[in-house]
Amino acid sequence: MYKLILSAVLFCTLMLLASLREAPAPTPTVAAVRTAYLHGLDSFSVQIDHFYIQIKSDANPVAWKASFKRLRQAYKQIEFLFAHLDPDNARDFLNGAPLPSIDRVVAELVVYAPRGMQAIASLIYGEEPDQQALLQLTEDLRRLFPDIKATQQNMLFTDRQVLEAIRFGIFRITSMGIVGFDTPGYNGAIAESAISVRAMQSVAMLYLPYLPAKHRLLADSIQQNFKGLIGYLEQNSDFDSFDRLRCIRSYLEPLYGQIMRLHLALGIETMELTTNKAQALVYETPSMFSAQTLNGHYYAGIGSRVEQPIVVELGKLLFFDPLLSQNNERACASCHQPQRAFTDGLPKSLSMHKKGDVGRNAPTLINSVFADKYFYDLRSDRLESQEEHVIFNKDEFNTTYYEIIDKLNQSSTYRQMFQEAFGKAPNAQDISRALTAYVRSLVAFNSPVDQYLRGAPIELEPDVQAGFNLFMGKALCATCHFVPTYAGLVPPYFTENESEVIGVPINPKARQLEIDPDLGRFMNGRPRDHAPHLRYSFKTTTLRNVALTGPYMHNGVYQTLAEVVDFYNKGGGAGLGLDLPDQTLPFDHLNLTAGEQKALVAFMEALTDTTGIVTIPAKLPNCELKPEWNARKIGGQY
Amino acid sequence: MKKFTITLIALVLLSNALFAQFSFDPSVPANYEPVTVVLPPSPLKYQVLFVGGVDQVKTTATYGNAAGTYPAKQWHDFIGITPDPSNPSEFWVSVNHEMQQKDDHIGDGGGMTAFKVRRDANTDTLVVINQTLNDGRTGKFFNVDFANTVGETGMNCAGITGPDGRIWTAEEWGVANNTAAISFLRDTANFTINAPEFPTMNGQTIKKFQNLNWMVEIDPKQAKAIRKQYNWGRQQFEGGAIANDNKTVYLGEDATPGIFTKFVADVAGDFTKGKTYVYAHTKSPKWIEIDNTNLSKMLSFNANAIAVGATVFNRLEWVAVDRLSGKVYIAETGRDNLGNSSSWKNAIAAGAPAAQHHTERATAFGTTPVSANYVDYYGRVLEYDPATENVTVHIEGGPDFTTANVPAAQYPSKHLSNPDGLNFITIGGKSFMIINEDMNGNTYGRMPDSKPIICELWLLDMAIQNPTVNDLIRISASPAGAEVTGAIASPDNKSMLINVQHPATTNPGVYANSLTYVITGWNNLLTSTNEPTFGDNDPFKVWPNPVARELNFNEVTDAAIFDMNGKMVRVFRNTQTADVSGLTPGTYIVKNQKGDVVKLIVQ
Repeated sequence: MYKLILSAVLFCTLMLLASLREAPAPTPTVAAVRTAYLHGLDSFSVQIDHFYIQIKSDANPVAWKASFKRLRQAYKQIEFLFAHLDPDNARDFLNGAPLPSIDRVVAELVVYAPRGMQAIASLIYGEEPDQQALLQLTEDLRRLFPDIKATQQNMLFTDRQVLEAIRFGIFRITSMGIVGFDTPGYNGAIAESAISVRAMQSVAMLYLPYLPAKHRLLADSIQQNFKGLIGYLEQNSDFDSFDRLRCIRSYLEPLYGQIMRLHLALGIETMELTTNKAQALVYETPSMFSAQTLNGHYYAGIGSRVEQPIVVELGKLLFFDPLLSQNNERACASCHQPQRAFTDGLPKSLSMHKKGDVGRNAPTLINSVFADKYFYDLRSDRLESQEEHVIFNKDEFNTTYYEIIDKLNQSSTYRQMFQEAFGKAPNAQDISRALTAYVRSLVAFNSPVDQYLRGAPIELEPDVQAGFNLFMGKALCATCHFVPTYAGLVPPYFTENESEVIGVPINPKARQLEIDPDLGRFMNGRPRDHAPHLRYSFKTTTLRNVALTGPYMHNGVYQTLAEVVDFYNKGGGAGLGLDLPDQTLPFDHLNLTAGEQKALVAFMEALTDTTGIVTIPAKLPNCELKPEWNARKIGGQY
Repeated sequence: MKKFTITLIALVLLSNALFAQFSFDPSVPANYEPVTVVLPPSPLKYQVLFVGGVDQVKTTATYGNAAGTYPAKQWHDFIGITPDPSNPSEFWVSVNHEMQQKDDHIGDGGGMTAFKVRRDANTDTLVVINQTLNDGRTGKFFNVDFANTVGETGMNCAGITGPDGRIWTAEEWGVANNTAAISFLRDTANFTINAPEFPTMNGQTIKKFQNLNWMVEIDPKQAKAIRKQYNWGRQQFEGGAIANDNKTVYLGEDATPGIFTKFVADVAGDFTKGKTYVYAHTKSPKWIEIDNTNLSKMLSFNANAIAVGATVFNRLEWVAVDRLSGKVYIAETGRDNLGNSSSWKNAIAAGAPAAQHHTERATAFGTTPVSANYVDYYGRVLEYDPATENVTVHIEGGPDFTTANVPAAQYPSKHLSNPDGLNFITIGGKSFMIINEDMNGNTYGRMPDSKPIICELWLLDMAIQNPTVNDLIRISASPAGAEVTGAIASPDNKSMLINVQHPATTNPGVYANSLTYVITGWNNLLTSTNEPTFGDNDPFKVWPNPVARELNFNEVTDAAIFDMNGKMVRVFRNTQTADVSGLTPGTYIVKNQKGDVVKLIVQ
């Protein structure tokens, strides 16, 4: 059947395992970076010891904070390299979110308590820090770091990895650093970002002398932008008032493109040349906020295949064709209507038999390809399998591929299109491939906010500007809805989706609030997700086009964005008084003023862009063998 | 911070003087006389046979839904093979699905898919053929019906291929109560055993979760379950094997502590009547019977085994019988902090002794099996000799490392970690053990530099006495993130069928799914490949390894590959081997950092 060469799968490890007898001398730049990096690892190690002694010997939270600050400074010197060379350890042990985590490797379900520096920060900046708990977390860090450090000391990295580290570092500062992702509970985000940028700057400077003379301007811009960025961060270190819009537009976004140009101008290979595997980020895209920033091929799980227009066109017809459902009335477009950014305007989508609903709210399909897992409960790995859940679900399409294939075969147009697209008659795999190709084409990253961040000569309304800065700052939205997807796809590598426990009630207007009983990710059937802290946990969906996708939340209980902002402002479910110890939002009030709440809504409304992707087919293919089907409605009835 | 900057600036000045090239110049020297290296196609051929989530299985009427056609479940694990005595070119294949999931048509819990293949006489490839079953289902792939027969199964991990091709599937992942099962079972009402062949158990009512974690016989030809072996005990089964006598069954339990169990049938081929024993190496006789007519003893088998002083092991995985010698081999996969496991310590305190090799190993490390510093990172393959009734170590995992992170520079060329799947293949009349890794972690040398886990498939020549890791022959590796498992030889020993379980979804194309693939051509392997030797002063030499689709260099180097238009298509840094499996056949130029060039033809 699939007579494919399996060599891509086989033997890919041999390279890793080859014994390395003697390494060639590193380039002078790598040698220099390495010297500084080893020094930085030592300094961080020393600061861990100092911090440990401070916690052990002194019960004074003020002294703890001072010592913790020095620990963070030491980490930020090495973070851009360390987190690139060893992302797993960076997340698992040093600087992951202060939440329980699941062991990704062992066969059984193992849940770890929060650990690392963010867990420590949550304690020392919380009320009445528990010295014993703090000591335990610090001891763990101190015990684990020598091994992590030993690996790094032996790591043989290349110029490619150094330049990537800077570039991903810029993305990390933009999407996580200045939004306070890793500085829970204290006002250190901007100052720490400045330290990190300084470290990147000094390494980038090593490379500028090697630029051919014709790239003089590029070298100058890189120098100026680093200088400007550092000055801006150091002079405006207050978290709430920091102007992130300006910082990104003026410095971070331009630098992101310039480091890439530096990389290419030096003739250093990119990651794509070193591996057979597709990468999540399109390295050669200069912008962090464009439709080409992320690689749709990577997420759709079909390698680097570029689909022909005929495949997308066929997928579009299938998407709008109610023949895909058992009763020939329901199409994908029934619940995913283009004019509503591919949602249906209902709290929960109507079930096929119009009795009751399908259980959850229909999410937008625009930019939906950029995800590692699908459905609100993250049960499906890929778009292809997501579609199958709909096809087989009794409340949705209630059919099988075989029924669908039989129906498509009644139409010569469909038969011809499958032949032209795939050289085959209609079949399950290609139906799925065509639908995926169409959904994958629903990408739009050209909202006014994107254009502005990319430096286009346009203006944004003052409310939108203020809203962006609140979103990325005081309102803490962007610590879960990460740029540039405004979803839980974690930057800067974009290979993992987060879910969050926010505590949406069944009915927000009830006198006695009750949590919506849907357990979300906990019940998705994946043994490793059946962990207590994942009860009521749902995928963090994108906010792009959110003005068009109401009502909101997995159960659609909020009609307007203002209601949603109000919900978060009050501290989510726990803030409203629900007993929800595993909530991943801060429980306390965000203290947003009425004006600030309005600005947030204005900003979210400016995330709208559906240009060129909401067209509906003029006509569905005729079924010569079943003329009675020819009157079927484009997009189905509802 | 200041110091950091100063160090770097000083080095910048220095480095200008030492300028070296980072990039590769794509131009070819004028006096270029091509040394041509040809990478011929491998004598082994690969073929993907069965893809989870893509291939469609025929289902029976289930949960009130009509019979139909739906995508197979994923997470392939065990592969069972049943020869067709009437047609040597055909055999049945049954594949376990370890993923447990509610499914309206296939049934809840885990599952299995069965199909039949025929070897194409011209191409030697395997072709899935159409069948019509007694229940009327017609097609290629069939869901094995558990829901309407013996009740749903938990994770279907390994299993048993009997000497005559009968198939059992093993339910792993100990389910301790109904609450733990509700995410993958819709019906957790009490279950009444319907098994007249076990008269003392027939008609008794048990909790639904207690109907999970058994060995289950299936009929691969009719794609339905036959019985749960209530007489073999409810255990966290990983695997088992049946001796050549078709009477003696050996069973491994994937737990810490895990028990080694034996069932001996009264009559060859009838596994419903006979006696069940647990292995206790300090007792005489070494096999102690547990009354298999007593349902409550069968339900809490592990506890009853410990109570009688059974030997405890550290996660027993697959069991396999070397049909040529009749000896039994068991993969003991290991668990990192064994001495810290409270269930392990409690069992030993209760009088169930640690297996002899654990005591010896702990002594060699200057510790005891119950001491907190007793670790077991890599596991091993054990040998049980029915003649002596002794369990000994056949091949120990490792080599041992005492630091968590082992740099690539110090990494051995072969390292065996966490053996799991186990089987045998005959090549050139000799028996080879097939060992599948399923790593518990990437530390302590299981991967160099704590790289993401890549599991490997090894062969071991059974003629070697006291084998070590250096005797292993590397065959295949899994896609990133996956476990490689299930490897089994076809009845004609021409092919090996292998499963890839839960690969990362970032792998290309169908490789993002769990799948069953085939490597054919073992009958064509006549000679072993020998590495040529090179002197230290030899110029750039490239040596093709057609089996592995990789280039070997005579030195550790940076190298780039260009196509004939001068476009750089691959860069390798600091390595002696380069995986070129992603290159389309054609002519290329390989260039090292010194500028030496070699012409490469990929066929």
